[in-house]
Amino acid sequence: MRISHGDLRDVYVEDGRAAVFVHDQVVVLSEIATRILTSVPTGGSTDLDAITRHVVADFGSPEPPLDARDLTMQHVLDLVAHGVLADDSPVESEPFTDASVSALRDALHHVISGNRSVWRLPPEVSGQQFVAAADRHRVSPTVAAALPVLDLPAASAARLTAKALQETATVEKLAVELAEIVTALEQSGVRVLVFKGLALAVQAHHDVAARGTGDHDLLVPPDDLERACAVLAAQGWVAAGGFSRPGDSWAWRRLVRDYYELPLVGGIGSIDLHWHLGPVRHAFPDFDVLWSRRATVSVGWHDVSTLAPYDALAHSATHTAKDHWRWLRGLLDVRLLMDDPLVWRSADRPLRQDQLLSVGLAERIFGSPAGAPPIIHEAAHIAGEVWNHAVERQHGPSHVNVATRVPGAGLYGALVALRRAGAEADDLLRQLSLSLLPLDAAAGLDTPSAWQAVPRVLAHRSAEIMRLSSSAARRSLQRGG
Amino acid sequence: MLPSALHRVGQSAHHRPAFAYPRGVSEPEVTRICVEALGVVIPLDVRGPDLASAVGQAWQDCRTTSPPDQTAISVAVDGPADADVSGLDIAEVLHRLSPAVTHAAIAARAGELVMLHAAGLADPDTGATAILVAPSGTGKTTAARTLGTHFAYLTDETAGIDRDGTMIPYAKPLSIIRTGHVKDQVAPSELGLRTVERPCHVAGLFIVSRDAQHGAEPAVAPLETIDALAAMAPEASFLGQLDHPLHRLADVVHRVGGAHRVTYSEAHTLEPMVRSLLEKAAR
Repeated sequence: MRISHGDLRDVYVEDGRAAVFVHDQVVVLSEIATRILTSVPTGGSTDLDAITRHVVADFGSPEPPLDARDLTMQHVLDLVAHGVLADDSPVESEPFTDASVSALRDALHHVISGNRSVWRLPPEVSGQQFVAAADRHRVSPTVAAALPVLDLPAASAARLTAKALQETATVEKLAVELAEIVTALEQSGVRVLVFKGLALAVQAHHDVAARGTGDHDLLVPPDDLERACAVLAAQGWVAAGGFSRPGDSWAWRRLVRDYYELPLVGGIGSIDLHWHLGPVRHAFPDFDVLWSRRATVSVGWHDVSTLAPYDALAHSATHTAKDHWRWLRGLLDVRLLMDDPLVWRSADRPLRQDQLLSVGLAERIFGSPAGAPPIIHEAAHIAGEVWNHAVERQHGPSHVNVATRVPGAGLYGALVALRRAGAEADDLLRQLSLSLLPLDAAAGLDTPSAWQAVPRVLAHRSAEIMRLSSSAARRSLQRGG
Repeated sequence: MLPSALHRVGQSAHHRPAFAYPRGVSEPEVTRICVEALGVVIPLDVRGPDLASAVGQAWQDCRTTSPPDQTAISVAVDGPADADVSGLDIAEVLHRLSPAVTHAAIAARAGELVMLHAAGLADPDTGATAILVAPSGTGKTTAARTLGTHFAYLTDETAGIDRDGTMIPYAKPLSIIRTGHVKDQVAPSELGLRTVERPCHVAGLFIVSRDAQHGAEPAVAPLETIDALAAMAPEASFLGQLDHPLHRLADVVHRVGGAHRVTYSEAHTLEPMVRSLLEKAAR
């Protein structure tokens, strides 16, 4: 282990304690951590033994059976996780494998079961492959929190811990940012439901950092969308590239009519501002109903309104189905929500087919919750039809192969997914419209007239299709050659 | 985080209204109102006489005739679409204008000033200033409004502190809940708060937190410098743009002889503490 300073903007030391400015945040160090920091030469590096000697010289050796080197290493890992120090050791990373993803499924099943025995890594899977699988499936924080019941190589455990600590530090900042966003909207009289992200982490995992970092997903009443945009604009949030700005342009009217969310950038995270929960309008009750039975969760000391337990289950199930169950985190969300008896007591409508499949897959992978209603077992049975498809996606790359931009190439898959989610004719027509005239092709147009805007978008789209087709043909020729 | 239309362009006495109107729509009267915030002159292009009157009144304690340092912030009721700040009615526009001006000002002074979420109150005779640091929504405005009748009011939002300890005032309107969900924006002088013309300098630094269950007397505890930095950092704007940000914060702490953490129940109970500090600074 070769240790050097992290990317430190400033270090202030007084009376044996230090404050460090790193990654745009202030980290206050204990006296031992300060000694560790000051024992690392500026501009150079040192090793764990040398650091341990400095610490022991100042603070003495710990009482047996504690070991000075082990304790120092824990501090060093913590400092590395926060970016105060950097581990310059060459990292031999290995990619995840089918076996490591299978092992991850098994490990998560063990963790959820509440079994206090220690789960062991199969001999054919290396620690690095397992860590890579946890990272690929966005469950590193969950795995790190469960390390007491998982027998992993020390280096792998340390890496998971460091990653989880790093994510937690960012989550804390995101929680503050979310509180500011929600407060601004509430003070302007805009009702807002926070879903996915940190709210779901609290609701399903009971730990704000359990799902790692991500966007702020907000749902506002469709009639308040422009108001919400104005409030957020005053806070510095702007529509991401490729999306129209609120106004009286045809592009904006179409975005609101045919789509369901607007990405905004301008903070630590980004905002996905929704006026519908997804592309299938009838899959969920309207905003007023969702609001009337909302739940409250505490995100970083600030209470926010979120979906009711059953609505959260239905939405998580739909969302993970939309992604073809490629991430175990999505199915884990569903499974943990299934644990909550309130979910089933508050059920007011049957689960749709896509939601049933997600519930069934969650049951198959992670086991059945205690006192599960019969529908879960039925769902597990019908999920057999998509099991191979889901496992194939989970063993594949994390990159989502979003429908290629050539019309028709990805449209079929999107329409199948929409039908499975209960899409009606108007939902399918909107999808067709979006495929024919993508939103970003109209983003820069500020004309209020469809007569002026549509021909320009079509011209832009035609040129793009020609370009994509030529590019695809070239790639095909190159592969053939 | 800034309104997208804001870019610093340096000194300029010229302007054109920052609106674009659809063809066929007559361009309404636009009034330019320049306000000074944290030493930055920000022009506001306000559409319509009623809104201009309301903006002028709410921002009367920040108004200046100095040339602008910034491109204008366009302000309108209910559009046009490209207005930087708009709302359904005048109250809503005023409500949104305040954070827009604040963001413009702090972005312009990023890298120069230490800027803390704080109320600033000064001795009008000596300029000695007490800074009460607290997160948004935790009682800064109430404290500033209550104590601003005893001392000079400098800000209820952002204390800007120069390298030499000079406190740059930002006498923005105070957000006062009267009716409805939108707070009214009221000029400090309209609330009877005292103002000061002379330069002010930091003399005391308090990290304050309100606890309604706390006793009648505020609890005051000294903070070690490192702990003061940890408490101040989350309330500092654009801290990362300062050279040696922690040393700049520590300079402020040392300049006032150390920071204190204060827990109080009601704003008026802070008055003796602030008075004692400012009198001590005068000696």
